[in-house]
Amino acid sequence: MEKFDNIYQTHYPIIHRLVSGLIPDNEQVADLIQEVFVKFYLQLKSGTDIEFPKTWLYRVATNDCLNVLSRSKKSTSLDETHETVADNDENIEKGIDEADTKHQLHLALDRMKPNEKALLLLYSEGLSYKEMAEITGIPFNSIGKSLSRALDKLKLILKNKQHEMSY
Amino acid sequence: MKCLTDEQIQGWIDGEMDANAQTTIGNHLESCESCRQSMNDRREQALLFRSLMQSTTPVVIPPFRIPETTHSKPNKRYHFPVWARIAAVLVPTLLVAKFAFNKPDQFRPTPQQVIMQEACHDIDANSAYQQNMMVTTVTDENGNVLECSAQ
Repeated sequence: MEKFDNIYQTHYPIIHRLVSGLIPDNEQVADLIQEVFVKFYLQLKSGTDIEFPKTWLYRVATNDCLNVLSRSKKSTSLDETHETVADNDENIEKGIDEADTKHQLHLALDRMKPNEKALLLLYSEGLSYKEMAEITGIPFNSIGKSLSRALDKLKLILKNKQHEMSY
Repeated sequence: MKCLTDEQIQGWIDGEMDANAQTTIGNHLESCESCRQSMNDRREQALLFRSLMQSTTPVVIPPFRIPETTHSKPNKRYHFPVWARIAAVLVPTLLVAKFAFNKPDQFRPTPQQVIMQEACHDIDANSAYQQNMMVTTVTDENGNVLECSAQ
């Protein structure tokens, strides 16, 4: 299993970036990454030849994260959601001085739909449209449109945040 | 040529277009001020987004925990004793045989039931009682009525 060890060492950081970008809970992040690599390990052990391990790992990690997010969304009550948003707003107001652009960007990303956020995170990793299409399941011809819309939405959220903070 | 869509501009920035489209869009960008402005804005945003998303904190890679299920232990969950396996085959077979081949007893009426059926099968429930009455007479050798009963 030398091949697995190599892939684990080289791909762990990139999968960690993706999963931690989508899932806020650190403990859950570690468990989810472990699950992804266990699936990969079992695939290799069963003799399946995975031609593109990076794309495979990205796809499984993205799907697992979206599943976790959709489950947690169902279990979160409306009151809790309001509370979270209110907390975030409070944090924005409190931390105007300490919050840098990066922090604002991550807060804005948290307000986006999980699949849009996943697409943007994959884009930030420098993946090609073809790879993004394979990972997210979005048709290749629609990737450009989905991406430009997601970037526009992110820009709008950031603009609205700045507008809110200026008052 | 019409002005470029956001999708086209994004694809051009990311180098995700075929050579012909790349040239056509490049030519249009040279001649169209508003599309060039839009492309510059988008490219700036994309670069900024990518640079901000780059994490500088190093990730600690934990050792990989090999899952327990991958050890080559026999799965005892499906190991049943011999008697249970035989019973699992025999019991359903016997049940099927009982219900499939053992037909229920046929109805065999007694002579009295046959007489009653024959006497009553054409009785009209709406006609007068006297019309449906069955009269039984017992006569002697000379034809004298000895007993008469009506039912």
